[in-house]
Amino acid sequence: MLTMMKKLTFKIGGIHPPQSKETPAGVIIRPELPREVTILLKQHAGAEAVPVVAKGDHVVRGQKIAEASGFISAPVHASISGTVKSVGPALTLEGRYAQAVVISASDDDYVADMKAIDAEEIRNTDNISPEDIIGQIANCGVVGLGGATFPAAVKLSSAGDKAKLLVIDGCECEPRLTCDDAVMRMHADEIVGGIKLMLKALRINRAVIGIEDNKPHAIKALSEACASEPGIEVVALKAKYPQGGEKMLVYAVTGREIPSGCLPISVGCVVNNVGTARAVYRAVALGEPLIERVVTIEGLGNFLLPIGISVGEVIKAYDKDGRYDFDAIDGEIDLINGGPMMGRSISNIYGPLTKGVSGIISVRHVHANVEPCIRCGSCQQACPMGLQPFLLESYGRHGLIAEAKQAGALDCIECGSCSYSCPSARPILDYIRLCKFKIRAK
Amino acid sequence: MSIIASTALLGGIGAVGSVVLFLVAKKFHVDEDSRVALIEEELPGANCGGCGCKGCRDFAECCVKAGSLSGLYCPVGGEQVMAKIAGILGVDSSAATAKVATVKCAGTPETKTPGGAVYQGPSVCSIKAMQAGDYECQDACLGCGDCVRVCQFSAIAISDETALPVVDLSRCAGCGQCVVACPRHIIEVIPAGVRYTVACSNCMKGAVARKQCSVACIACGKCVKACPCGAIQIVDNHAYIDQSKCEACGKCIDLCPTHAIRRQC
Repeated sequence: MLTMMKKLTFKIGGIHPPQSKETPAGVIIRPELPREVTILLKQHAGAEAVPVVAKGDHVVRGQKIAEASGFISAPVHASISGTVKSVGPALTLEGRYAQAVVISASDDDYVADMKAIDAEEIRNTDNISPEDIIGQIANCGVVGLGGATFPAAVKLSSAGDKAKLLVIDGCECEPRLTCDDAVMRMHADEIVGGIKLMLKALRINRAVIGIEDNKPHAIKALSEACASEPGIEVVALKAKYPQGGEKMLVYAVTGREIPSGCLPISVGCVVNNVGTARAVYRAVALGEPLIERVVTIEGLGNFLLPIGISVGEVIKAYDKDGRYDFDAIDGEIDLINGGPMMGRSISNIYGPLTKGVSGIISVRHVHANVEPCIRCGSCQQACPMGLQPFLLESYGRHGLIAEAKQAGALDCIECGSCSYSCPSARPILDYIRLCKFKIRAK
Repeated sequence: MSIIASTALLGGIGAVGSVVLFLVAKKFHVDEDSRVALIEEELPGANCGGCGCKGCRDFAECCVKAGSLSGLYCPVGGEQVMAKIAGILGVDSSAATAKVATVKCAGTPETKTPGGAVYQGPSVCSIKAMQAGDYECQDACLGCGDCVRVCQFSAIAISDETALPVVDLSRCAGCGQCVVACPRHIIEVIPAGVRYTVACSNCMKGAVARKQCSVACIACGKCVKACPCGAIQIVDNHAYIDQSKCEACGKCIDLCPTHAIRRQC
């Protein structure tokens, strides 16, 4: 029946880059716990968390080490037990310095952590109130795991009574990444549990899970998991990039367009990623803060990694074929944090994992010749927001910031469809980012 | 008859119009300092913007308004023109000095520690500055030449050897366009002539700065103690020389352990 129906998708723009989802999504590898983690204090959108531990303190796995500061903020927790080695600046994956807490574990701490992982206990969540759910989500530092890392509790509590529908993003439209696919296949029950808790927190009873049709196993797993839940529906969507963007996804599943500059709540929707749904379940039902996440390391597999682990050490331990030759980074290979469309270059591969990292991929250098814009309109056709990227690029190049704002630069979701489709290989997105940066800096 | 009527009508309109124009001109009369026009006449009229003003007339107005010539200099006319302007205004012309741009970074690819990734985006500093760049130092010159592109005097160029902008002092007008264009804020306009500057803008603490670049200022403070005129301060973990106080004695340059202080002549 499903295959007979016309598959849903969003209306304007969109592209079909090669999927290359070759990293196996049928298994999630759990590496040995690290002996040292570097936990950044700002791993979310909003204000940096304030540390509540000092050098020399002993912390246990899951203990809060930094408190949220301000309305849009989230606390961070220790991902392993151990002694606080330092509180100060540390080099991030992007090669910048940021405030972090370094925790170093002894042998006893390691054994205690392994015991704690084995002794998971599911709490009864039948009689929990919506306020308690949101409080527990906030307390556990759950943030959006789709990439934007917006604090989940703020999203749920600010929805108020305007929410009508919960939209769960299982699209994973970004090529090469398979971490959401893996979570959907392996932990469908936990996702459905998280959705039920979020529905309760929003005081509504309808949720839609949107999954692209190139992930049949995930569709099957989630359909089975929510077969007995009348309010939760799984919708297969026609694969098209960037379907995972919340504006595109809301259009695809409801047919409603979110006005410029507005959030999905303006059309009665709350959008959350599948990973977030699972984190919500673990926070409320198991009491486990967000201290682990599933990360795709391209070619090596999907890993359940504790936050703050050195990404380079994991790759070193599992890379048997020499796919990630760190010495060759300067030459041929570049490492990317995220997917190939929206990811950012990694400057320091030994930097710590944060809540927002969905994948690590390696790409070969492409030395494209930038040619003049021929006004072909490819970028305009590809833009899912209906903007005119070629115009914004030229505004950015000439520093015409007011004009760029007028032309809707702030509506750009930075999906990169314009740069991808440009036959002249122009760096359109870079200039639009520059426009946005300058508009916000004003 | 009709000729007389039309002549009278036109004459009447003309008379009324001239009275209105006369009254309007009286009412909205702007008292302009006659010296502005005199100074404008002396200026080269290139409207290049090299002085930092919008054009030659704007510069003339600035001169008259300011009353003294400190900080004002016409790079095209040079000292001759400035002396004439000083004559018109009846002020001392010695306050008018030439200014040049200086780059407060001396990190070459040999001295800077690579960051690990290679930047692949467009060769534009303002875009590159949104990312971490090729090197660990987050205050170093990005080397993509935003300053070169905005310079109207072809006075700045990226050196092939050091990948740093080099200012041609004979051409630089000190207009400050490059100061505005640099996203890392490492260009400063200073008086021309023999001058000492700290060629580093690194904001990290000494030990970190040293690791990031071998010619970074480590804020040791030796120059601050040695300066007889109190012109040097440590700001944001690097030394800064206040050019208005500096007497260019040069006592600081040999003391600097990382050779971050440079001499400009």
